[in-house]
Amino acid sequence: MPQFFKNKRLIILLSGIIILVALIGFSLRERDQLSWPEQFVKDTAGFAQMVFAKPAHLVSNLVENMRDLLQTYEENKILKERLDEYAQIKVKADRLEKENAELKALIDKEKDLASFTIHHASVIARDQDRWQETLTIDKGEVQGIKKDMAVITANGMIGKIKSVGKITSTVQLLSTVDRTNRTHVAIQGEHDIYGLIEGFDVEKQQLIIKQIPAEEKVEKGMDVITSGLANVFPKGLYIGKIEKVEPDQYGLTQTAYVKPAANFYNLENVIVVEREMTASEESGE
Amino acid sequence: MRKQWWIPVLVIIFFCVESQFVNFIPTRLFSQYWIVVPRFLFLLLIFITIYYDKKLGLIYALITGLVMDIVFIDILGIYLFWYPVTIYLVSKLMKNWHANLFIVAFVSLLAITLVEFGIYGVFSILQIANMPLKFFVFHRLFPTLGANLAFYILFSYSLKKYFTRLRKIRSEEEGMFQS
Repeated sequence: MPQFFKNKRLIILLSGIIILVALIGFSLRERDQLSWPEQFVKDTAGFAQMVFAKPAHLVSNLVENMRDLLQTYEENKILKERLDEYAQIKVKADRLEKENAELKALIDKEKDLASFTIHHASVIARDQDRWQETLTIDKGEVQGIKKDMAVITANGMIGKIKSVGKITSTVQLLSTVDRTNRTHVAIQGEHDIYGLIEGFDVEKQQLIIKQIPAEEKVEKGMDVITSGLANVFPKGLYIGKIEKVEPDQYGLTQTAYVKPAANFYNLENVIVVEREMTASEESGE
Repeated sequence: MRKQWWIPVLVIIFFCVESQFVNFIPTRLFSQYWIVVPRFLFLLLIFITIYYDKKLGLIYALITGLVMDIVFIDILGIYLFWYPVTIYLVSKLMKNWHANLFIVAFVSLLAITLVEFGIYGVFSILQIANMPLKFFVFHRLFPTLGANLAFYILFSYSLKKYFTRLRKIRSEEEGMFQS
């Protein structure tokens, strides 16, 4: 027995494992805020990454531009066809917006679930071990970023803020396979059908919406947006289109597969969306 | 003496390159289902350990492990465990073997496999990942090994040359103090 305790390495290894388990336990708790040493390391690393991100974005933009140039003719043809359509839609949207504003003024309601303010941010790093898909952006607590805000690009929603440092923060992408990564969504049919995004199919690269009631008619090609009812994201952020619907094991509910509209790669600028009003506030009125 | 200062600079550069890699080199370029994980920093640590200094390699493994835990995965203790442990095993293993580039390549791939499996194991236990073992091996482990081998082939020669020269300079200086 004394021999056993003389083995210094074994003791180091054992105490190391105990400390590690304690550390993992500590960091797996539900935490609202990072501890300050973590924030400090994150921000310092973020600063170094910023230096590298700028030239990387430059090069990738250059490559992108070249590719665009080669496709210009084809693209131009398609765009011309769309242009007429666009003018019509714009006029209609303007009219509806005005009407909406008038109606809202009529009932004394300034904010609703869909209204939000935005913060622009640049991507400075991406998690390389791909178990959790996260990004680091160059805005943090100082610029008014808070936990659980939605993050979008021009094409659609990509994720939410997972943790916040002083000048950087971490974005958890929708494609993360994690049981806490849930988003309440509305499928836009004749009326809104609500569901919960419960994961990501790695092999198909599609989001999975489970627990849709069997009697609802969900079809391929329907649009999926955030519902705004879960107190986290504003209403109406675009997520993607339904790709496939199948009944679940017992036929009581349906499972839908959604192809995300946003590209999760080659991200440069993202928009952090701050909701102006919570659902509980609205019901309180 | 001044040449040593390049080691922390190299570590920082490798760290930043790794963090840009996934965003700009989408793996679907090759296949939609492949997951390629850059482990360039880890390769650098292996080189420091084998060709320069074991203790320094371990210290860097501890620091980079901690930083990666904090910056990327928000769970402390995963890289913090697997990086130093693997580096330690590598240094034990290389005691008996001659450090030529082929053997080091083999050892590096072995070490990366161990790290990947280790992290896969921890995440499976914590229920963060639910990837089937077969998918993990064929779509994550093999592409990762391939990509890192390519990186190894490109840079191993110059890294080896740099670290052996550092060691030579240091042993000469030590000799000077002893005489």
